[in-house]
Amino acid sequence: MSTIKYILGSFGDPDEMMHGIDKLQENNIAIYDVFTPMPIHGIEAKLGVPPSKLPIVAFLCGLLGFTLGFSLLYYTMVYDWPMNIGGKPAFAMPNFVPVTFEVTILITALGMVSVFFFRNHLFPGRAPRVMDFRATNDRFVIAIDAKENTDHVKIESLLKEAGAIDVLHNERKYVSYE
Amino acid sequence: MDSNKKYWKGLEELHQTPAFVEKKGSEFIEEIPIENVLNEAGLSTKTPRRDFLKALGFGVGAVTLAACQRTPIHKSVPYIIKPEEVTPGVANYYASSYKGQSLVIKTREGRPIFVEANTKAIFAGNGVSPSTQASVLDLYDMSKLKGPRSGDEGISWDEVDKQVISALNSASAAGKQIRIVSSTINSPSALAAINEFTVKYPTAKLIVVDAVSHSGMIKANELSFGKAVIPQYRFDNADIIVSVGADFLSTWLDGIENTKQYMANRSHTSLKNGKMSRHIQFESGLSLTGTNADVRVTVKPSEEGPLLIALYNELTGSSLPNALNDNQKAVTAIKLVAKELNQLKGKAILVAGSNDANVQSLVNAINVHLGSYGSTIDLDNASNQYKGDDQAFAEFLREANSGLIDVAFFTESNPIYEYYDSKGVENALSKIKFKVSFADRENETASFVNIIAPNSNYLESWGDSEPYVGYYTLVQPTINPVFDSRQFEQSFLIWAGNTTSYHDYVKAYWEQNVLPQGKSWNNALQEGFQFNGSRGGSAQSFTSSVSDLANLIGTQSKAIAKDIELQLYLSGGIGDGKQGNNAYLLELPDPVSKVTWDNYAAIEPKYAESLGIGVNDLIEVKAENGYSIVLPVLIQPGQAAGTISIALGFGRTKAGKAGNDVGKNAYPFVRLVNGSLQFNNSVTISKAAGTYELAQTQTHQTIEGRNIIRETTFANYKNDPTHGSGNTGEKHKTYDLWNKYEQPGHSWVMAIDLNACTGCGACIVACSVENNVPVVGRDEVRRRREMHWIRIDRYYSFEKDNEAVTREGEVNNLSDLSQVTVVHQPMLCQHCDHAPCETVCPVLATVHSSEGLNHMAYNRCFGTRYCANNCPYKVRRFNWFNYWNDSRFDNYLNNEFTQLVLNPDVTSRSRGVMEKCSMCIQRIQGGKLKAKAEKRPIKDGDIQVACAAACPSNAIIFGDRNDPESAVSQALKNERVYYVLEELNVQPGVGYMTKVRNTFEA
Amino acid sequence: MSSHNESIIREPLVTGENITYAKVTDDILVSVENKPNKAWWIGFIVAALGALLWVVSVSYTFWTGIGAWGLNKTVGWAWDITTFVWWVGIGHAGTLISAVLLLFRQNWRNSINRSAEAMTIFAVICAATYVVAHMGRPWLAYWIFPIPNQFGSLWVNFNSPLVWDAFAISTYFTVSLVFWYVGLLPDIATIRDRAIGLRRRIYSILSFGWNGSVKTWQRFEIVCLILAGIATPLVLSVHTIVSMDFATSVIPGWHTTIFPPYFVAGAIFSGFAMVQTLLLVARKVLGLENYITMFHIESMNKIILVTGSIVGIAYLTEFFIAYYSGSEYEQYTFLNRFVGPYWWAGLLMYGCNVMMTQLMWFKKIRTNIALSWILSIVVNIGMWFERFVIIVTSLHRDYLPSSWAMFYPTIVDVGIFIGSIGLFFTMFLLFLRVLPPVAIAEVKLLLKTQSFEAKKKLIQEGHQHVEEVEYYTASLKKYDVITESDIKELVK
Repeated sequence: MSTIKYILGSFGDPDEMMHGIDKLQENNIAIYDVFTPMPIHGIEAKLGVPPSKLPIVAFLCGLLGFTLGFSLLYYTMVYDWPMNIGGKPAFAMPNFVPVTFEVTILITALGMVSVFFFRNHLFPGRAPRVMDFRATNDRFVIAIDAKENTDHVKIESLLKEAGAIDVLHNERKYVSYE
Repeated sequence: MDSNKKYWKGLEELHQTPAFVEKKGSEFIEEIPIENVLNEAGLSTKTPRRDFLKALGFGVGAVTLAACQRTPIHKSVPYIIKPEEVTPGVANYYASSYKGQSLVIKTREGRPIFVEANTKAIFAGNGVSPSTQASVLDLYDMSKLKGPRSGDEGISWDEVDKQVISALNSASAAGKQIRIVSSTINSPSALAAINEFTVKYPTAKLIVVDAVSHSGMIKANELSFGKAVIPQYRFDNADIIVSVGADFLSTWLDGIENTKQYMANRSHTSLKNGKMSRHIQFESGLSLTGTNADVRVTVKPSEEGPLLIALYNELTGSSLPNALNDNQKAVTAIKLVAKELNQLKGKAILVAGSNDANVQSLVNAINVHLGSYGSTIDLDNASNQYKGDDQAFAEFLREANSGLIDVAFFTESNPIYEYYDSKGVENALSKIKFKVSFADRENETASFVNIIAPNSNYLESWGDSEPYVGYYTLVQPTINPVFDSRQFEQSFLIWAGNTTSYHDYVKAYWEQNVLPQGKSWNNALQEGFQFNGSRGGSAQSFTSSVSDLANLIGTQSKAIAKDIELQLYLSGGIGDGKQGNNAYLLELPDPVSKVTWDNYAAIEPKYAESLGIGVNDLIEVKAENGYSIVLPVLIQPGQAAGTISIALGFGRTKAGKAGNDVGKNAYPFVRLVNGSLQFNNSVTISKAAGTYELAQTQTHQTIEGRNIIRETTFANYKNDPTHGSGNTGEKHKTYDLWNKYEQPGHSWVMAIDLNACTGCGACIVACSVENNVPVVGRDEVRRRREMHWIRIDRYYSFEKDNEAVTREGEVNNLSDLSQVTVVHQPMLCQHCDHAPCETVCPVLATVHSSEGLNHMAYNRCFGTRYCANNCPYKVRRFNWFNYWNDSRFDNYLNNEFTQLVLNPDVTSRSRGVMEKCSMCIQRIQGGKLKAKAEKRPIKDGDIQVACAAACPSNAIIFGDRNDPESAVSQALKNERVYYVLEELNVQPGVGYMTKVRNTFEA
Repeated sequence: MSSHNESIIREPLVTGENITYAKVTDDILVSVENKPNKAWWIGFIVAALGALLWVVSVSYTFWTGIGAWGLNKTVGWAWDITTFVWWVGIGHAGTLISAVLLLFRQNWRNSINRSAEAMTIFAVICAATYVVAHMGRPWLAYWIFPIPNQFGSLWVNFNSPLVWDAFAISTYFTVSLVFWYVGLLPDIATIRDRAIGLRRRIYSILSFGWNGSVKTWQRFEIVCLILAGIATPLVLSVHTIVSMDFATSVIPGWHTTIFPPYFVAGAIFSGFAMVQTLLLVARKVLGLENYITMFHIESMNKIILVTGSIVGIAYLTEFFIAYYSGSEYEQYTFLNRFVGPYWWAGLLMYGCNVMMTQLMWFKKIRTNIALSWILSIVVNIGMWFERFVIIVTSLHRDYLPSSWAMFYPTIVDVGIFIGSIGLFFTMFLLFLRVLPPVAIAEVKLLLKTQSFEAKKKLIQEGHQHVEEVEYYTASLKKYDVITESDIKELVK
């Protein structure tokens, strides 16, 4: 039983990588994940990654922000202690617009981004789950679970055909930052 | 793409050379010289980078922390044994008087903090002058002496008495003279005391001399009518007032009483009855009175006499010599005036500011011709306010020089400063063996005497006065003497061997001589005054020869009609300079020029241009007697061409911390001509090196054609009372986007009568005293940072073919700027119901009250200054520094003693806080509480704001708009009422009444 | 799909021979991965001294009080708010470039947005310092926010534009920061994976553990898109609200309904000018000519020209309305800008902003680096004076002539102004050292389609319309890094 955990196909060109993905999929070889130095458009579809729900999150945050903002203004200006300010009515609608708007935006932005960080486990000091250092530089890396897909030779040959520059057989999942 | 190669860092990596293998661990192949930096040498250099950063960090931190100072906490100690009449937090009021004006003194916890006119008084009951208002500050003056002094060391009063008495005895033993030099004393008790003293020491004699004397007038009346007095003037009986160089609304005789009488025929109440007097002013410098005149004609000082001759000729048809003929404007004016005067005999009055007996005699002649005596002039009930005798003082100097005098006392008199010939005075004094001054500080004269026996402030003293014959006012102390002072009357009594306390002495005097049957001393103390005299007076006839006068006047006027004619005048604030250390007065803008903290040479713009003199220039003014001073120039429209005017009372050298070396002393320009001081001279001027910026509170002089000032003529007013007010026809309808806020209880508003406001500035001082408004000093005023909550805007306008010219550009093109018309507009927070300032304050530091007031919460304000920017009236004031205790602004408030003048009902504002007129909210609150305690609704007049209380012409009317009967709601119904900048629809709460001028119908 | 090719006639956004993903990374990270060169040190020392001056001046003000400035009873705001608005305006370009241009699919933004955003953040910081510094009692600055306090129901005045301002500025700062940092994550990861030792540790922390997995990239792109979507109205709202500080007042010259669009245009105007000022220098010093190309410079110049002209129109409108309103106060104020004591300020304002920028109509000037740089400076000066004119000349002569006054700055005023510029450059220079000045990942996106290389390949493959190729080659002439020989090579 080999100790290889993951097989990495390291491509120098996104198109070749995509080609590689096709090849693997034709041979029903499950792809664990793909690591690229830049977003590759259309890859989600290929890998069957469902579309993100972040827009919904953003919208909900927006609603929350609007409500918070407006109720803050209403509470302080109208309910808690209405005052005669320059003869204006306590509930001076137009004057409520700017702050409500700003709060809405603020909550939307912060809410959505924190959800994004949360879902992707991004936070300061988190140990990066990186399989190949050059995946953030100039390599497009396809990772295949070596345990589930046992025919390593075939995988390597497929990747090579697709134009992988080299194929790594990693015995540990992630590279070490120590 | 061509990246299907491995990347080698070089051939080494390819061949894996040992060198590479060893080094590839490190990030940078070649060495980084960190050691070099961190080794001994690197760190032991002068200031290593780290230390620098530490220092910087600490510095910033420290400064930030230090800047975050909180309001300091002052310890206060409650009464151990509470005086029965004092209730902490409740003011006590005492009747007293100052310079013969009956006053009510407000005290808090035993500290006098505010003076108001006694409205019940017969004379001058309306308001007070700026100097009276500010007098409370003199009590707390740090520059005063803490006790009697002999030379430089302090001594006890016993020691004083011992020395003085021995000196007196030796003097009288040697048969040498003893003199008491004093400014006018009209206190009967004091005179009695001095009398006792003169009885004890027969060679003693009282010499009365005033810095600005009216002895010429007294002499004139003696010559004309055999009465050596100054008459009582009754401007309220005059329909036409002609003044030749008399600033009678401000500094000429009893300005406050004059103002009251004058306004009786000019304020809104009189206009309602369709009555308004006409006032024609002939003068050289633009005086406060001149700014209020209906018609003002400029004449040189030398022309005043000839002008009166011309007037006499016109009136009587006679043809005296030396009549004025070269000043065309004046000549034509005289013709008109004469016609009017003859029509209004018995209802006319002529006053002249001159101190020349001949001129005043001619004035008497004219007044007799006009039948003024008995109607507008009352010679029988004379005024005792100025009894100074210039001749007597000259005589005193002569005697002193010839060594006849051994002992001299100086009360309220500072001749070395005030007398034109101060060198002469010094020499004379040096010949006097023993000199005593009663000055409260080591002033110019006091520093020449053997003993200073400091006199008590009037707020610490007992006393009385008789300003008009038969009109007695009382002075009672409102606080124990703060320093070891003794009032001079007491001293004289003691030296006369009379040991009764002066209180008992005054009491006894009043019970014997003043009080009528059945009236007790205590009643008198409560009322503060006693009137036993009568008013009215009899007609007079003029016998002496007018032609002789005409000749003498002619020669007199030629004497000064040489180069440039100098007119010396008193400014409404600092006056003759006796209150020279009073910061309130020093920062009070001159009513006309708006200059603070300086005197200056006022000169007509076009004339200045012709001499090549401009703004910020310095000129040297030189008199024939060789005296010269360098003064900043003030370009003054309305100044007679060929003349300059300089204010007296400045240039004190030993007044005290605030007052020393403010301006230049102009007294030495005064001339002594046949026995009376003349306040004019002939001088030469030359441009001096350097420039000097005067500290003015207003630098733009015209209204730029804006309708913020609305005026009309009396003729038009009679046809249509709304004329010029913008209330004619149907007004533009205003709409309100919002529902109006109800003001169910009270609604505090104000009405200001532009016709009544003379511009004197008493309101400014009153406001400062009442609301603890700090004095910021010359430099800050230069930076346009004066703190006054109420200011008086003064606008000039000029005539060009019967069109008012008010735009800067056009004004500069005018040929003649001596003919100027002036408006004074008091400007304070308008308490707008749609206040722009409130909307923009981010922290709700300023909001509107249910009583229509624009509140200011100092503690909440963090100083964005947005409110001030957004105030169309620019009445908000910002505390740029900690004025009330910052050594750089050490005008008066920077010491705990003077801080006793502060009104405890009003917080002193910290640095970085906005402030403004609160309509004396503390007084409103006080009034409410009082009414509540007495279980009654507030009556109109219960609550009086400081400025309104001070105003001598009742130009400011404050009250409750919701009370239809209140004076203010009545006033605001007036057809003349308009609101400044009403088109902005900020709905201001202060209404102004149009300025009405009773000009000649052209 | 990245493999489909862009029309040939589009000018390349990335130039340079044999450009590869690796080369992109190396080029951009030159400044981050190497020791600073002389130019940087000189710049940094000068800037740091400026920042020190700022510290000193501000400390002095806090110590003595606002009286240290030249303000007075009539002119309550002058250099402080002038410079505040100036900085806020400058701070608009970053978000605008990264957000609005992203929505408009303007790919050329990819290589300038990073430093532009950084500039935004630093500019907003400078502006914020003024908000606090101009207060009479700065230690109470936090009162601007509705914080529950011991006084119970003591809130803030939401009618006050200053409160709107506080919310707008802080929101804007936060959102820009987030937007910027999210965009930085992949690039920080790149640095991380190339560095070792302590640097790797630090960058590893900063990178939030970024790994370029599919899901990460997917969400990343969505987040950026939505952030751009909300940042666009935000960036417009910020200067709108700043303009309301004036527009909602009653002061003639302030009380103007045209202010919001006018201010926003001005903000973009000055912002782009500042980006020019910085990048023209940066690209030379950091050798980024291949990424910040002449195309970028010209495009920014075009935007400066457009916004500058909009500002010009706004000026004209203001004058017309002042005349047409019939309000004597309004009319006087605008006349006063020309004939008043501050005529020179008005001259600089109208001259620099309207007259000078019209030069941009000429391609020669648009594509001339030196001139563009000078003009960008001119615009910055002009825009400072625009705010000075609006604030000071409107205030110093408003309604009642009795209160008319002049404003004279003190040494402290000047110190704080110059200091704030020093502060700005200090922060920007430090940014260049530690973070990639160009968005690496986003530039990589362009490589296959919009690079000079790619297009060269296309041409050499042939089957492109000849005239299109000619058009393309002609458009290359303005590029300063593309030589004649390169072009010849293309067409041969």
